[in-house]
Amino acid sequence: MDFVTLILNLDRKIIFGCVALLVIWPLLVPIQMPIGTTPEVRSIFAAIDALPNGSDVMIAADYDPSSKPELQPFTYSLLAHCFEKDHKVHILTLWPGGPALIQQAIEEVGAQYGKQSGTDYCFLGYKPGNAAVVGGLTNSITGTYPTDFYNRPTANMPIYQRVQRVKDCDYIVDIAAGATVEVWIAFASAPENVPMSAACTAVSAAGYYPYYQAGQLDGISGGMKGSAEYDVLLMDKYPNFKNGGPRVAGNAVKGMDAQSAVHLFIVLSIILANICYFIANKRQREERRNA
Amino acid sequence: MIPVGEVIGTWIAVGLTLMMFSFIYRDNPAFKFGEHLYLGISVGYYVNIQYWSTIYPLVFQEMQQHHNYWVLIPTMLGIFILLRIIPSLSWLSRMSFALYIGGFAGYSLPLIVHSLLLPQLSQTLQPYGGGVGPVINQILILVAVFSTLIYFFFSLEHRKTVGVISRLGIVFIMVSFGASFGYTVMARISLLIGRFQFIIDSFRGQ
Repeated sequence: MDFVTLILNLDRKIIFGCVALLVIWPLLVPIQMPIGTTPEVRSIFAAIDALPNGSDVMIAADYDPSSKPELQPFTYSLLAHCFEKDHKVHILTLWPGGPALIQQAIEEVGAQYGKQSGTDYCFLGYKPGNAAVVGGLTNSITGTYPTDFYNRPTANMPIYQRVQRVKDCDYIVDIAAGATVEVWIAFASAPENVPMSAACTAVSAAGYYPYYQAGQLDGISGGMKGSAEYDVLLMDKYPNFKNGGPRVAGNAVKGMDAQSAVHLFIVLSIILANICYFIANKRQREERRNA
Repeated sequence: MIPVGEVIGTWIAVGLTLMMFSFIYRDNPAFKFGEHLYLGISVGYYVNIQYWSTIYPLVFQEMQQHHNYWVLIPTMLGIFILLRIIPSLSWLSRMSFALYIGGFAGYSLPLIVHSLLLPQLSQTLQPYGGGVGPVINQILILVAVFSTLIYFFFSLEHRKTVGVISRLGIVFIMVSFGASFGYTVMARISLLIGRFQFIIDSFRGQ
């Protein structure tokens, strides 16, 4: 069997094995490849950073454990960035599988910055109804969420003494695994004129570029790569995030070596397989001509 | 000292991850066990979340604490939707769906047209300017939108000029699919990295 036939009949388990090896190896021995930042992610970072200290940021963490590796690092980094700037965080989820992940993130990052629930942030929890919930928030946050995730009344909380509705917030970020970005644009950001950005899974990133292009989103962060870029920007601007600082940054950065290695492997495999395919085709044509 | 429960939980999670990965070799009982366990736990978890976040506070608590019995009307309409599984009573679900679809369409259509459709249209038809790069971008967007719309316009036969424009539309659609597929590969690899990172961190005791 020559090389071309070998490649075209390669057992897929060998490809799986190579991918597994290329993921495990950089995780065990980090190569620390440079991570470039894109204008889309820089825009989100700049928007949050440009808000005056103590601004109100509404974060919708609309994802569940199946998107955890892509979006949870972004949630950690965004929360850390907000708390670094003393922003007040209003965090909620429209996904039933989201509360446990958000609780973990907000409690961990909040504790690292000594932030108080009800004063510096409020975890509103999960409520079904997507558009109805977002529409409700434009009328009244405490009316839509009379109690927070811990079943404490929201109306008496210090954080809601000056913020009544979405319009009173200075910024919205939707960290989304599904189609909730459009819901937030249509029912909150555009009608209430509150600027917004989105962090989404890589699968859905391409679909949100028209909103970025149209200026309806300040920025987009796509998948683990976007999360890693945000980490890099955070570490560059706030050196205390590097080594020994809050654990919040660097989770996505760790995975980028593996991501780059596998991408390189896939690109080379596609090129090699196509070359072999065309060589095999040419051979077949020559054989038919000679026969 | 890490609590024993956490250690056992981590090992179960690692074991289940390896069970799911075993499908790469071939379908096997370990994979089937993991798959069924995942489905069962997911359904149980979601039912529990929905009950405690919706049905209990909005129905039972409302009636018990605030004596608000109006909530029985939407509850009944919700039950009607479930009656679709009984053929003789399935007609009742139409009332609930009619109310839901009609109400939601009335509420959302003006907002969607105002917030999604019109801004997207106006951005597609922006006046040219801002240098060579932006002008090229604007022309490209206009040509792509026009040719893609022609591809999905079925009232004219796709021959001659219309055929050429429609084929150009396919090229733009393919470019879009390519970008989406590239992102999909990235997403799947990210999930794999997440799982391996979890396994490695578990073995390292982190």
